[in-house]
Parts: sequence; structure tokens; C-alpha cells
Amino acid sequence: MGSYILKRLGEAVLVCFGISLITFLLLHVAGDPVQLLLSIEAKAEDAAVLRKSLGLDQPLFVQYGIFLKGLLRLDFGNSLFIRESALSLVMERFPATVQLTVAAMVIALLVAVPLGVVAAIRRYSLLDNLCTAFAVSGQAMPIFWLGLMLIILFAVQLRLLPASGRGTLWHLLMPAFTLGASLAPITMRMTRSKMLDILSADYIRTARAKGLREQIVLFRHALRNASIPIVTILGLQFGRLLGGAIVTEAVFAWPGLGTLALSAIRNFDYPLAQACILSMAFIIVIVNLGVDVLVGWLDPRVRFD
Amino acid sequence: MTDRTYAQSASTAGGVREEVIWRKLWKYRAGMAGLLIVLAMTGMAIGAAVVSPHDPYDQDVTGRLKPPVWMAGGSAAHLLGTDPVGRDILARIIYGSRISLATGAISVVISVLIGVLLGLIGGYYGGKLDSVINNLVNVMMAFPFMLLALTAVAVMGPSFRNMVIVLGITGWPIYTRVVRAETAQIKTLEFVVAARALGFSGVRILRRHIFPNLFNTVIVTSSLEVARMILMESILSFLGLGVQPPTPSWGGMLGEGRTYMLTHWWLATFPGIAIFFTTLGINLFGDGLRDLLDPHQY
Repeated sequence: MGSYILKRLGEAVLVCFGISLITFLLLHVAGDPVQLLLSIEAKAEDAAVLRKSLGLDQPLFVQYGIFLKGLLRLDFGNSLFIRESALSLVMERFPATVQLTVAAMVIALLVAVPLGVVAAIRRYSLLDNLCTAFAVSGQAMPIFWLGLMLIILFAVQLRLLPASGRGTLWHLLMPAFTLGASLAPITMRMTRSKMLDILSADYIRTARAKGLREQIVLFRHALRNASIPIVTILGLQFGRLLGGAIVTEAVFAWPGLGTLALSAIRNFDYPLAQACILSMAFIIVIVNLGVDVLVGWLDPRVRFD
Repeated sequence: MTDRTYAQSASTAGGVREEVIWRKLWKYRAGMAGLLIVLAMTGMAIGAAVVSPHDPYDQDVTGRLKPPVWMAGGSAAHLLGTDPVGRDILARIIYGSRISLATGAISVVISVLIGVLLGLIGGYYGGKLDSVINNLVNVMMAFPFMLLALTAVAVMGPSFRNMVIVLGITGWPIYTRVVRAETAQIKTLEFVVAARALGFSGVRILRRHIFPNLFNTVIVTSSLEVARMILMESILSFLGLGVQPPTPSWGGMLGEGRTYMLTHWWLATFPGIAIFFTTLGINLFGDGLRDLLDPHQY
């Protein structure tokens, strides 16, 4: 187990390094920060002054070195517009995004896992077909549109829920449902197909032959084994979930990392954009590492693969 | 997602067999329905000038924000109503299909070219090069795709061309991952070993012997990726980082319609339906294609 964790950890560090390099190159080579920050009428001298003051006149690898050094001390520099450390701005918004994604995950699991299990048990029934139809259309649903439709229905027409912002549990309801809807279909399909695989396994037949009650067979034997691939798929989907969180936050004006990242990217506040991008990417890496370790612990076969 | 137990259940339980056939037929039908939607959308995009009742750029300030025909104040001249500057919404949706389908098609072609090439090289030659490619895939997969695309488009300047390029060059890892794994598997098979024993070059083996065996996988993956790219386009345009106004795009229309959500719900409703049906059609078609082309999935 120790060497397995170490191996995964090494890979994660490598991935983080790669992400920092791509982010840096993207912001410093694909576009010129100074050009994007100044207005078109700005004089060349002004550009030179700004370039020097931001340290952008130095060779690229020196800049990357400084950037990496800061990164190791968790210092992303200051935001160009809000004159505050980028990291503290990120940390300020962090809880809102965690709240949103966790709530979305809980909603998705609460809906998808029971439906997937029932669909697998009652295979080819009307309910199963309905579940499949629901999953297929759910996967085609643009979530930002779903969010807008929910706002029109529940906030504008019925006046039941607040359209935007964060505060009470009522504020959380629509954004979390919207984001959860992006995760539920794949979770349901995964649960269904894994349950089907497992229900035809020998040990399930054995359990039934022993005369165990069907509930025990289903929940203690089948679902418990299906939970490992479900956890894996949730881990793999986490990146997409955070991506969806950016859009969801934009639709509901949810004050999280996503809206912060968007405004930083739009204003070309590159230290803040770097901080947002890297913190989100690192969270994804950490979550995936956690899932790998968890799955390795739950299922010894994975460790020796 | 397909069931690996099809064959089993069909042969063991006689009662189930009929249902299996129905389900397969349903799936086949779903695939056909998907194909029809895709064909209809393509036809609409190509023949937009013929199908569209209006010019999508024609403004009419006196007839702005007209509701759809079935609501009070609507008129048959504008079936889905008009937008804040009086442009016909139906016409803009019809022309918007061009942007969506073009984005989906072009960006997927770019990703396929990059991804398949890297996957073939990595899977066949192995070694250091393969581990470099593999690590690159891992890095790209850990990156929130949305954030990468948003940043890249913002940095390069939002435009149709840049958006397509960005989606194309960020979408390749999925192909590399699939192709690399299959190539590594296929290269150990006898016909490849035989080809190598005959002294064929690696390029020839990859092109003539390995790639044809991967073709189905690539087709299925890329058909589903077209839908994802169309969704990405709509998100980018919705956030103002994709296709720029006044060019009609579904995501852009949603972004514009959002401001009028309180009073004019239809502005943000219809473009979303168009996106939904297009991605649904492509997904159904892709799923059907997978069932058809990839028999070992069962």
C-alpha cells in the first residue's frame, strides 16, 4: 500500500508541475499581458514601464522560475486590480464552490444511485426504459440553459426561490440541482451497468443460494461492490464537475471560484487567473489522488496492477 | 453504456429474449432517430438561406421583442418572435446551426488528427516517447477542460476561428488515451508480428494494419465528441468568449436572452431547445453507432 500511494503521489506531483507549465505558457506566451492590459492608445514607453514593473521584461524562463518559486511558497502574487494577494482572494471564494459542488454531488448520488439500482433490478421494465431516457436526455442538456429555465420557472414565474446570490439554503437549491443534473446521468448509467455486471456474478448466486434475504444480497453484496467503480467514476468526473461549476456560478451569480476565475480571465488579471486555474486544477489532482488511494484501499487488486 | 450480459440473458431466460429484441430494436430506432436529427440539422445548416423565413441580421426596431406566434401579440411573420433589436429568432436559430455544426466538426477533426497520431506513436513504439505522451495526457486530463478553453480563447481573443482552434487542440487527449491502449494491444497480435517479420516499416504497419482496426473506435468516440464540442461552443459563446455578435450562435443568443429573462422568457428558451436536440441527436446516433460497430462491447 505504501509504495502504491508513493507511486500515485509521484504521478500527481508530475501532473501538477505540467499544469503549472501549461498555465504559465498559456498566459505568457499565447498572449502578451501588457498588450491586453493597456488600452490601444497607450504609448510604447508606458508599455515598457508596465512591463518592467510587472517583471515581464525578463527572459521567459527566469519569469517561470520566479513563478515556480512563488508557487512552492503558495505565493501567486497580487491581483492586478484588487491589490490583494491572489491566494487570499481565492481562499475567500473557496468555501462557496466547495458548498456548491458537494451539494451537487449529494443530489446527483441521491437521485442516480437508487434509480440505477432499480433500473438494474427491473431490467427492461418501463421504469428502466424511463431511467435510460432520462439519462440520455440529461446528458444532452446544456446545464447553463437548464439553470436559466429553472430561474424563469421558480424565480420569475412562481417566485419561490431567489434567482441569484448566496446566503440561505434556498439560494443553494437551484444551483446545486443544476450542477447535480450534469453529474446524475452518467452516475446512473454507471450504477446500472455495474449492478447488472455484479448481479450475474457467481458470488451473488451463492448468496442467493444460501437463502439470504434479497435486500441483503442487493445492498450488502451487490451495491457494496458496485460502489468502487461508482467512486472511481465520480473521481474521474470531478474535473468536469468543477468545469460545470464555473458555468453554474456564472448563471446564478454564485460568488465562488468560478465567477472569480471568469472575471480574472476577462480582465486579464493574470496573477489572479493563474491562482484560480492552478487551485482548481490542484484540487482535481488531489481529489483524484484521494480516489485512487481510496479505491486501492478498498480493492487490493488495484494496488498490484 | 451497453450491457455485457445481453447474450447471457438472451440465451438463459426465454421470457427475457423477446424483451431483449424489443430493447435492441428500440436502441436501433433511437440511433435512427438520432441520425435523422443530425441529418435534419445538417440540412438546415446547409440550406439556411432557403429554409429561413428572414435574414438573421435584419433589424426592425418597431417590431422588437415580439412574442412567439401562439402568444398574445405574436404574429405568423415571426413564428418564434423577435429579439431586442427586432431580428427574427427562428432565422437566427436556423443560421446558428451553422456555427454549432461547423465548430463541432472542425474541432473534432483537429483533435482526432492530433490525438490519433500521438496515440498510434505512443502505443506502437512505447518507451520514453510513450511515457512523455502518457504524462502529457494525464496533465491535460487533470486540467479542467472548461477553464483551459476559456483562458485560451480569452488570451487569443474571442472569435470563431480561435474558438475552434482552442477546442481542437485541447480536445485530443481522449483519442490518444483510447488509441494508445488499443494500439498497444493490437501490436502483439499475430498479423502485426507477421508484418514486422516481413520487414514492413513501422509507418506502413501503423497505417495499413493497425489503424484500420482502430477506425471504428475513433469514429464512435469522435461522434460523441462532436456533441461535447457543440456544448462547449454554446458555453463559450454564452459567456461572451466564443462567437461574437452579431453572428447568430445558439450560445450567444442565450447570453443575450438572459438579460430579458424576467420579461421575455422565449429569448433564452428556444436556442437552448436547439442545442438540446442537436446534442441529443448526436448522442443517440453515436450510441447506436457504438452498438453497431463495436460488438465486443456486449
